[in-house]
Amino acid sequence: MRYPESQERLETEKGKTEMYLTVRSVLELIKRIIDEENLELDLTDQGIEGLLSFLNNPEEYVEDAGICEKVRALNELLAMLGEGGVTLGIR
Amino acid sequence: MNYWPCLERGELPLVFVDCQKRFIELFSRFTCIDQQRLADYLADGKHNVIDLLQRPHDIANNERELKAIEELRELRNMYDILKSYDRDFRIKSPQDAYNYFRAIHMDRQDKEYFTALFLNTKNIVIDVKITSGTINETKIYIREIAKDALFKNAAALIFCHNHPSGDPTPSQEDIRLTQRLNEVFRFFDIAVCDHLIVANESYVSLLERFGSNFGVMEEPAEYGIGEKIARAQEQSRAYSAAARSREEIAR
Repeated sequence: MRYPESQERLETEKGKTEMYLTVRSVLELIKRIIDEENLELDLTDQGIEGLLSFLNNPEEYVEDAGICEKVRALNELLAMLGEGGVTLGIR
Repeated sequence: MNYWPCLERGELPLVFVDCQKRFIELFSRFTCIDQQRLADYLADGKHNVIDLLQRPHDIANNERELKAIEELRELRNMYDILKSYDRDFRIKSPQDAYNYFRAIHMDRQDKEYFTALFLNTKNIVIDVKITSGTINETKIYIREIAKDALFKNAAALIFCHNHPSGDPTPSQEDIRLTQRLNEVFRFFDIAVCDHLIVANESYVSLLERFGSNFGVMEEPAEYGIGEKIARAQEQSRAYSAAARSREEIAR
C-alpha cells in the first residue's frame, strides 16, 4: 500500500527552512550537553554536512581548545553508542 | 562459541577492556554518573550500553543524571535521523514510515511516546514532534498538533506510537484516536496518511489494516444523495414555514 502524494508544489523554500531548524535544534542540544550554551555558532547555512563536520573537526569552527576537546569526546561517545559500539564490543 | 579461546570464560580481550574503560570515562563525563557505578552496572552480566539509554532510571540516582542521559539519547537519535536524512527521501509507504520511526523509537521503550511526522506535499519530512506519556498511555493534545501542522504548512501527517508491552496490536482507543485525528485534519485539508504502532521489531499500520478511512463506517447505502437532498429540502421548507409564521405573528 502506498501513501497518496499531493499535486500541489508550493513548499520548497518552506521545507528547506524547516530542515535547517532541525539542524539548529541538534546544535542547541550539543551545546547543552557539552555545557557551552553560550557558544556562538550557527550551522544553519551549512546544513547537515556542516553539523557532521563540526562533530568530526571542531577546530575548524571553534578556536577554544577546551571546547574542541569536549566536542571530540562527545563525537567519540556518539560513535560508541551507535554502530561503533557493536564493533568495539561494548554492547 | 568462544571467539577468544586463550581467555577465561567471561574475560574480555584487552582491547575491549580498554574500550569499555574509555566508554565509562566518556559516559561519566557527560552524565556525571560515578565511573565505579557505571562499571558495576555493565559488569553484572545483565546490562549493556543500550540499557543505559533505554532504562535510564536503572542507573540514574537523581534528576540531573536522568536528564543528562535523556539528552544523550535524544542527540544520538537526532544524529541518526540527520545522518540518514536525504532531501529526496520520501515516505511513500508504511515500510518507509516504519524505517523512519524505528530510529526514533528504538531507544524509547520505557514508556509510551507519541510521534507526529509533518510532511510536505512531496511526502518529505519537514519536522517531527514527540510527546511522552506514562508506561501505558500518552495524552494527545490534538489542538497542539493542529497548531504545529498549520504553522509548518504541513500537507500530510503520519502518526506513530510505541507499545512498551511489546505487542503492536492496536487497541480500541488507538483506533478511535486515529479516526478522530483523521476527522479533525480533514477540515484543514491535511491528510492523515497513517498511524503506526511499533513494538520491539514489529509494527502495525492502521492504513494497511483498516484502509484510508481507518475503520470509520461509510454512511449507510440507504442514505444516498437523493435522500440527503430530500431531507435538506424538507428542513428548508420547515425553516421557511417557521419564519413566515414569526412574521405573521409580528404583524
